[in-house]
Amino acid sequence: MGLTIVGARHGFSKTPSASSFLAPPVSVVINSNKMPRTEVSSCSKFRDWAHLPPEIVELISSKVKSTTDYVRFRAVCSPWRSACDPKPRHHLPPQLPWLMLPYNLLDPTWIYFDDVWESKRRKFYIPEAKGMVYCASYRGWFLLADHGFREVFLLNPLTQTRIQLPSFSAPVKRLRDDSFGWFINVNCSITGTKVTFSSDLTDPNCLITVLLSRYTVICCRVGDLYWTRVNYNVYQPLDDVTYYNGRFYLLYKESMKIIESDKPDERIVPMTELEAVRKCVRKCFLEGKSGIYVLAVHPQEKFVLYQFLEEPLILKQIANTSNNIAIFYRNNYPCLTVCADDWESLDGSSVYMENKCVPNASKSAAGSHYSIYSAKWDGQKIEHMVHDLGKEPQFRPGEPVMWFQPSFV
Amino acid sequence: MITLISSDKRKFHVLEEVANQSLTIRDVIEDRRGRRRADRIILVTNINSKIPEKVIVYWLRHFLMPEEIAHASMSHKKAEKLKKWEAKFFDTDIDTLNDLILAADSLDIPSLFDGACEKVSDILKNRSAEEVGEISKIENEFTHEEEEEEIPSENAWVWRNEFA
Repeated sequence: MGLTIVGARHGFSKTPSASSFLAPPVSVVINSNKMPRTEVSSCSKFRDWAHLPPEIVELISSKVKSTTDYVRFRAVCSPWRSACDPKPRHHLPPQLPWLMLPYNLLDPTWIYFDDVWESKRRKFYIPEAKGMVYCASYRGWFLLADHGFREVFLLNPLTQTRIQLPSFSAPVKRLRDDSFGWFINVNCSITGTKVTFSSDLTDPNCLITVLLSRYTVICCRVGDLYWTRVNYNVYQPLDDVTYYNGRFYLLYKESMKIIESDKPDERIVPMTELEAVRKCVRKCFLEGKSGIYVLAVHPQEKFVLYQFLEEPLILKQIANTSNNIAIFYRNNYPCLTVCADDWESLDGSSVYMENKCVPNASKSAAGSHYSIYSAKWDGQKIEHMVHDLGKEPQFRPGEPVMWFQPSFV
Repeated sequence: MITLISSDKRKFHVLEEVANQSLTIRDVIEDRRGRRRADRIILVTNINSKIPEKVIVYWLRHFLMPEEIAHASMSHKKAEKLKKWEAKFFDTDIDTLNDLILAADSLDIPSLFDGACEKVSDILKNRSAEEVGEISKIENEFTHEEEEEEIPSENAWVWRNEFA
């Protein structure tokens, strides 16, 4: 009687096989855990997709790239559903963004997205949004606030998960000493609001940073009762803010400020001598694998890219980021970057912009249009897609609201 | 030389260096090194002879460019060629893919396993759950709650296109 090895990596049964009747010195018996091993000759039974070992199902699901395909995958059959996490954390690459369409301000519970990549309109019912305003979105989450800024929360429309945040109308702590000393001007407008997370929201150390109405930078962690204020100069408008490796990066008109989150250290990187920065219409941060970049946008969609260097403390003009990225614009403002390597439909090193079209005279005034351009870095336009918002009553004429990157976590 | 015997008792003679790509076989060989020639016979049961044949073809293709496969050092042209070849190799019916996945899993051939899984996910791309069920002959067997509530609400945003 020889040695019999049954199964291998993914949870097959480890009992000796009946097929060792052939008595070879060594036999590797390939078998599925559900099937009786005596049926050596029957092949059809082993092609049972529904009863693949769950580990294998999960591995196949990890090859799925888009959120929509993942939801469909889980809807195939019961064993597949139970084998796959409803909120997969590491499986999916950052998704292609959907464009959130203008919603009815009086009834924000129904929201619509244009998924230009699958040519679909996606519709979500969000009962919790009643009486709220969609302020900003980041990685699959919306920041919602009510009109008086008393209630603030994050919401994921895919999983309908809600994460409560401290009220904007509560007192605000100082960054260094935890004392209170300030209130947010609750009469400010929500335009120009940005939210970023330092990691995913299930991490208790995840820091949520909010830029409110271009002047105020505040941060908190999930579960905090109060916001913490990051910037003190409230008279200088900010172009962008981000949090990266324990530091806040604040982008002003002619300088960049770096604030350490855990020690009292502030540094200023002057940008006055950088002509491209002074003359640009907009600028923003880009996060790359090798650090922080500043992108300056010029009229006619010309771009100048700077890499932030530590020693010496400067911004250095470079030709391109090392990773292949696509930038998404809204309202003339870069708001989202996606790694293009994961997506065939995405043109790397290019910029996608939404733009309101001049309404066509032949259409009635109730109809509304917008277009999406994609352009290369040098400003050369390559594609132009026009989207008709139609005359549905739920669409108020107006510009699309924001890009939204679907995600389960 | 190693002999693989399939369930229908066909014999496949493979060079040890080639068969070493299966970590399971490699371990078995290591374990029994220095013994009789008969030790070099490995029985691969419960799959038809088509699969060992496919697996060996895969081994041979990968054996021709050892080491390089996993590394970026492989020249762009070679990588493209291998990619094309793999695309053709995995372009097969879904039953064969199932057999390949099980075989790759048991024999512990990571690259083959990954490739086959990727192909399956490719097949599933942009298909509804019903279509997938049809292709793979899966009965869904959902619980009442899943059938009535969870899945329709998820699928609402996945499929419904209100304005098409």
